[in-house]
Order: sequence, then C-alpha cells, then structure tokens
Amino acid sequence: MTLALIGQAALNGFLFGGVYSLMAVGLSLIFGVMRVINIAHGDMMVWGSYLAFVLALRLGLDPFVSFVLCAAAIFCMGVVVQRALVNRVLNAPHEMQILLMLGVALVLENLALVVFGPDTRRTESAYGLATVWLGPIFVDVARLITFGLALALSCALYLFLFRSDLGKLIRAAADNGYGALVIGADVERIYMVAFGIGAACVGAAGALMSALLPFSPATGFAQTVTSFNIVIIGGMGSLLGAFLGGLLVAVAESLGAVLLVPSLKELVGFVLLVLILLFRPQGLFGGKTT
Amino acid sequence: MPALLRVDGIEVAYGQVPAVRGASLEVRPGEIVALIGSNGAGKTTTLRAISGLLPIRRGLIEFEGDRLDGLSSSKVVGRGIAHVPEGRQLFPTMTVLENLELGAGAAKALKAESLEWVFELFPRLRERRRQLAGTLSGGEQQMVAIGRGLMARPKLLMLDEPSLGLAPVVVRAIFDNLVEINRRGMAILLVEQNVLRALQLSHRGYVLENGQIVLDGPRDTLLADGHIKQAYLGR
Repeated sequence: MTLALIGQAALNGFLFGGVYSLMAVGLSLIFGVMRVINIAHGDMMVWGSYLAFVLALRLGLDPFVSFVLCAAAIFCMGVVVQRALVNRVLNAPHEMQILLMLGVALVLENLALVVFGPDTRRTESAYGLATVWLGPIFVDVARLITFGLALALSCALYLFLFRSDLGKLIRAAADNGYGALVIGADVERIYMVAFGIGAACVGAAGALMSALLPFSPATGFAQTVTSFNIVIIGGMGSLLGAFLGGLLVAVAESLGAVLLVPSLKELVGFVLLVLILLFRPQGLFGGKTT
Repeated sequence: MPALLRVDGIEVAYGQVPAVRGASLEVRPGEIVALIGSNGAGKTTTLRAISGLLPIRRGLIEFEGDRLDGLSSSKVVGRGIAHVPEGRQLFPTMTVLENLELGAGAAKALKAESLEWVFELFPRLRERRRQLAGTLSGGEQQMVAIGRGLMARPKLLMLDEPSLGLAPVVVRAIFDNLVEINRRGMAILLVEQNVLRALQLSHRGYVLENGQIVLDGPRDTLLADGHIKQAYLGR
C-alpha cells in the first residue's frame, strides 16, 4: 500500500464525483422546490445512460457530446412525469408521494428491461482508455472530461438560478411556495420547469457516467439510494451541499475500495451517512429547518 | 363613484366548513377601507378569495367591472391587485432586492422606477438591499412585504394584519406609510385586529363577524358605534 496508490484512488474518486454531484444536485433541486422525493431519480439516470449508449451505437456520437441530447430528453421525461403525476400529489401526505414515485421508478426500470434487455452495457467513448501521467499517478482522461462537464453544468445551473428571472422564481418557490403564489407567480410552470431541470441533471449524469461504469436497468435503484445519501450528507435542499457531498462520497467510496475491500466501497458512503445523522443531522450545508 | 372592487355575497369554505358566509363589500378608487373583526371572523379568507387563492362557492367578485372570481392568483395580480399576506411570506434566503424585484411580476417594464419609489418610501430598505430578507427585523420585513406588493404597481393594495407582532412605534410608522401610499392614489383594503388604528386612517370600514358583514359605514360612524366600542375598542 503506497501513498501513490492512495493518492490515485482519491483523485479517481474526486474526478468521478462530478457525476455524483450532478445527480445529487438534481435530486436536491426537485426536493427543495416541491418537497417531493424523486424515487425514480436513479431510473431516470439509467434512461440517460441508455440514450447515450444508443446514440453512440447508432450514430457514433461520443457520450461527451451526446449528454446534451440525453439531458434534453430526460428533461422532457421529467416534465411529463411532473405534469401527469407529481402535480396531483403535491399537497398529499408524504407516504402517498413516495408510493407514486416508487411506482414511477418501477415502471421506468421495467420499461428499460423490456426495451434494452437485462444485459450490462457501457458506452464507448474515444477517450475511454486515454490517460495522462502526472508523476507517480495518472489522470484518467474520461474522468477528467466528465468532471469538467459536470462542473460546467453545475455552474450553469447556479447562474440560471441566481441570475435569470425564471431561476429566481424557482428559488423563491423553494423558499416559500405560498409567498410565490401570493405575488402571482405561475407556480405550476415553476414546478414543471424545476422538475424538468432536476431530471435533466440526472439525465446528463447518466450519459456521462455510462462511459465510466457499466450499467443495467437494475443500476437505477442503487443510484437513487446513492443520490439520497449524498443529499442527506450535504444537507437537504442545499445545492452547494449536494455538489460538495457528491465529491465527498465519491472520494470516500474510492478510498474505501482501496483501503478496505472493493466490494465494501458503498459501505463507506453509508458509514459517512450514519456519522452525519448522528453528529450533524441537518447535513454539512443544511442550516435551514423545514 | 363606481366601485374599484366589488365583492357581492361571497361564500368561501374550507372543505365543508364555511368561513365566509355571504360577505359583501366595496372599495372605491382612492379609498382606504378597513376590514375589521376578531380572530377567525373570516378576514384572511376574504382576502385570499379576492386574490384567487381560494375558490368561492357563491357570489361574485368584480374588479373595475370585470369578473375576478375563478381567475388564478397570477391573473388577479396582473389585473392590478397586490396582496401583502399575513405573516409577510417573504423569501427568507433571498436578498431584499431580490424579494422586491420578484414582486414586479407583470410590471417588469417599470421595475427601476417602482424600486426607486419603494426605496424612497422605505429608506431603510435601500441600506439593506443586499441583506437576506430572513435576517431583517419584523418591521423591516413588513416593509419588504409592502414594498414587494407595490412593485406590482397595483391599483388596489390589500394588507393582511401588517401590524401583527410589531412594536407600537413601528406600527405607527408603517401606518403613516400606508397613508402616504394612498395619497399617491392607490386604493387600500386593510385587514386589521388593531381596530382603533385601522379605523383612524381609513375612510370607511366593514366589521366581519362569523363570516358575515355585520356593520359598515364611514370611519366616524364606526368609531362612534356602541357595538364597536364595546366589542373592539374596550370602552
């Protein structure tokens, strides 16, 4: 066990963390605005992955290009799910919302099974095997690009939320939904767009991740759980918390795989979760009580 | 003079429980009208119905001669009615400036001008414009709530208990601001439990009890009324 190996694991985890951040930011946005837990989050991600896979197979598009299309497609999926289903249970008790979203998750997962089959896939990228050596450790180019894109998308989302009129309305609705209604904001449209953007984040994350890790329809649920884990660690409703939490969990998992046993890497993330719940239940960046 | 706002025999219920039972009232252009009554009399419900936040079961609401009931809250704001709700309902993690600007809604073209007016009215808000709304004092938050309503450039400003939880000196300042706003020609519908103060600055008033208007008239008539003296002014 050398220092270089640990450094390598930390770097790999950090660069991979970009996609974790992106999917957690999407979940956090949806929860922050609508107080609805998107249990279908990971399954939307898998659909993003499959779209990237199909676009690479049929049109030869690199996932580092096609993620834009995947994000757009999953945005539409999110809008449809919000309009047709989530909108009806916004004021319903949480258990009803959870049942509904669990249903959506099951439908999306099994639809993926029917359409794409149960086999594990991985999207081919031109950069899949490229590496750059930095002294004793190497940088996986695919991870580096993924990280850069995830960071750029997160920054774009930040600018949208803090600079644009619609973005400010989304923040306002997250802050105080009744207040947004009172000032005459079109809250239904705000919810639709917010859900779409949250879905687009995880769709893009799915496309990017499909070049790094193998996936199958069954991966969705695991990704949903990981997203929850990150959002709780970062602090519910905090986008910055979700972003940094994603990096933290990815680094922790990567180090856990090297220092413990590779199959125990998820354990490290959950230990982190338990520690957070014990010592800082509002999460690292969640100051606001709801 | 034709009424700006006309509420005629509205009935509003939460589920099966009626909260307003056939209330009627009018606000004419340039007037300050007080809607007073005790807790649970249906004052807030009436305002929420006018704003399109609650559906009415019976009756009608007209604004400038057009039907208002059945419209969404965003349409009602667009017609020219701003609602400053009970509890202020600000966006606490956003800045004062952002809170105000969000109020502009359909009146975006006039945003800069409206903002200047609000800052003129509440100089304190200009100083604090970069501060998060949640960190302000109660009085300052109420100023933001009123300012946010004004940003929509309404013809009618409806306020729900603006004095709630504020120190008497702050209440006086806020009420002075309302008179100043009214002097600019804006009609005001003021819901208050602070009955004496509210009546003193109003032109007319309505008394709501158990979801029905039991008394209405010009300020001086109401201030001299025996029932009001006994039930609300404690004399």
